[in-house]
Amino acid sequence: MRMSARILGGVLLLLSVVTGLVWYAALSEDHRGILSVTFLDVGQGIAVFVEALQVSGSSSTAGPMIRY
Amino acid sequence: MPFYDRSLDMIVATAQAPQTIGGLTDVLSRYGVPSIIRSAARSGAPQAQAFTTAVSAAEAHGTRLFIAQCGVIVDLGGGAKVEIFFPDRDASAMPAEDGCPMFKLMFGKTSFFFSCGTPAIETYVTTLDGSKLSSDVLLTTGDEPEIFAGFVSPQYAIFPCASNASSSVFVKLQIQVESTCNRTMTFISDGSSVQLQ
Repeated sequence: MRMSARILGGVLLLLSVVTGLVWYAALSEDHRGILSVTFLDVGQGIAVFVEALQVSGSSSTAGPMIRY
Repeated sequence: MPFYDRSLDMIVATAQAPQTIGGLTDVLSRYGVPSIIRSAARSGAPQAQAFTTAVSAAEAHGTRLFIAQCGVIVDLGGGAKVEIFFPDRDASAMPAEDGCPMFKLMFGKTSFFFSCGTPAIETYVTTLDGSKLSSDVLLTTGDEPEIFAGFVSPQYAIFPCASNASSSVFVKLQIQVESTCNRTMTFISDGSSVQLQ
């Protein structure tokens, strides 16, 4: 019984450490955004495609926008 | 933008000339667009009317229509904002080519100014706080007065390929002039500075 409690405590401690490491990695990641503005020749006018992206390469959070 | 992504967060329709607005009707039919910015000025051209019909259909499906008016600021999310500078009045009675929206896209300390070459800019620019126009990149038609170019004072001036306007004003102001002829240009802003890729 006492042995089981120690094992359980060890597992919980390990899980806590892993959870802490995951949160540390997530929060310390570089989340600076960049804005990409692309000018496209579409004949008589210009189309402009705007996209806000995360530096880490995750999906866009703003835009895109098209303008003619 | 991946081929399977069929959504655009926002469309800004500027010029309403038939040869320039026609493509947006197809864009609306192919992409889900939650927000549209356009001027209250309307063109009678069939292509512009088709676009108006497409916008109305999109509104029926929940798209929000913003009428471009000086002072309107739209938050695009991700730190990007659009501020409308023109029309500075009710444009519903204005000819479409006069009432086109001019706006500034802002991201951190960097910004992109989109001029539409409205003839009204000659008088409008004299009523402005010129420092508000300052931007890193200017999309120009080349028809703007020199004082406007001086106010914006961009690092780059972008001319549409079809423009026959002179870039001499920008050259005189030592502004780098670029054209979209046979090339696609991408600028990257990190919020502090703008780089041409």
